Amino acid sequence: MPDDVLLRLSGWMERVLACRAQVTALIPLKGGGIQENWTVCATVRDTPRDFVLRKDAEATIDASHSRRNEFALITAAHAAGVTVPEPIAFCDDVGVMGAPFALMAKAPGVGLGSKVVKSLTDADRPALTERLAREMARIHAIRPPTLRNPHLEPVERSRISANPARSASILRQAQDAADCEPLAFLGKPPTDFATAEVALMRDWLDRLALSRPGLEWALRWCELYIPRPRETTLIHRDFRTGNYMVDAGELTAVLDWEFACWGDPMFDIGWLMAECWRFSRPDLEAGGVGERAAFYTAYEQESGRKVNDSAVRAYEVLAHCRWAVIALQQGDRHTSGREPSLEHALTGKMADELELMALRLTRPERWRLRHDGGLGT
Amino acid sequence: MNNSHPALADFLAAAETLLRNKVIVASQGDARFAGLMVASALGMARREIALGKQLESANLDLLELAPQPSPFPDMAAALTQLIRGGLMDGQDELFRRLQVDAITRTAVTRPQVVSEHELRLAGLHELVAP
Repeated sequence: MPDDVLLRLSGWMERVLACRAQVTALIPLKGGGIQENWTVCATVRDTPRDFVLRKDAEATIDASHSRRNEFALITAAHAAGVTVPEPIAFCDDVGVMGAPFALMAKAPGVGLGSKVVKSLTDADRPALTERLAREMARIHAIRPPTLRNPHLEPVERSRISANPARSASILRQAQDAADCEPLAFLGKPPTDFATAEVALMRDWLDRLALSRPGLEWALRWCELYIPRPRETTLIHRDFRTGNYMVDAGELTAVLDWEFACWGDPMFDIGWLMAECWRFSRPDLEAGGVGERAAFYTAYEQESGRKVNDSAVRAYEVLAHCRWAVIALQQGDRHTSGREPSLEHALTGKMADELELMALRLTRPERWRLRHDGGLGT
Repeated sequence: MNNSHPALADFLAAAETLLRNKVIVASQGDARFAGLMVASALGMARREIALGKQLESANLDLLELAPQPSPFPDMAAALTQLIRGGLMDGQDELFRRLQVDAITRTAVTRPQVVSEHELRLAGLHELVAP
């Protein structure tokens, strides 16, 4: 990385941190197909400290938020007691890094889903399953301001951060910001989340000019059988193994907020449970980490909300469809010539197995359940 | 029919084996990741050649269910509209053909996730190891 970039970034960090800061290295991070992620190695007040810088990649996925909006989401989640990378500041000045970016503290541990699943011991699994459920429940405690619920639910200050002064400051900032609805960019909550999601998937397929009858079959099933939501909350929309960091068996941060929206909280549970996110442990339904029942119990305790199991299982079908369509979008980044990459091309090919998984869950007998008084009623 | 196809499949298989056994095992980090991606692409290309006829036949079989003539640019688009419109909800025959088509494509892209039962269903059990 050229020295002038490091100098510009050092200058900006000194301004936002209001102290001596020197960036010593910028190291690109793997993953983040939708954003460019960098480790920022810095010395702050003579102490070495690592941060993560996120800025948009050359081509982005249709539904992903701008870095500014993503930073607002992480700040709101941090204030609500969700374990996220500590938000430091956002930079609009394209003169610093060539594009707007967000700076956050770096969370320790492993993020890659396959590694997380393999690295856990049997002793780690129950505690991590419970922790995942509680973290998700805290996200779902954030309600749309238009529903006249408190924007931020009361949280124990000790949960927010290990640094009480920093936590209090962030909480004050978030509460001040809540007055002007910092998540207003999320728009109005949909009246029927699942129907809106199915319409969105069809629109994405149309925009790719792709006809995928197998995915259409599963999407039509979702349209008919996903129950109407009982309530609307903030949902992460990509809460799955691979999007949180684990260090020595403990969760250190929930990452990748770029798809968050107002929606049905059962969607997030279905997304985490979907077979496509269990990696080498398909037998462990909660993200390849733990038991479904243990997750449900912890989620219900933390949220005070009953899990609607039939809705969760129906959302698992939608999860396979959604991941398949996103894989096709990634593949299109290669085939369109916008961002040629073998990795993107291979991701596009994953749509075939995801379509097969969605078909396994929507056999013709599952279309008759509603008429027999089963699923979806 | 292109008679060079079996030879080409063998050629790709030899390249994939060499890459996996000599290059990837001796690589680390980004180089290993790149090697694995290339090996995966070679494997897909090899299986696509091997299952070319089955892929074509499964797709044609599925598209037979599309209405003709139709105002849509292709038969897959016409079938899509029927499904979206609820005109083929839960139909056994459509499902069977969708399943065979998806199994055959997945047998090319990621055969390890296709079960033996599914391979039999698609008539691939003698061509692909489960």
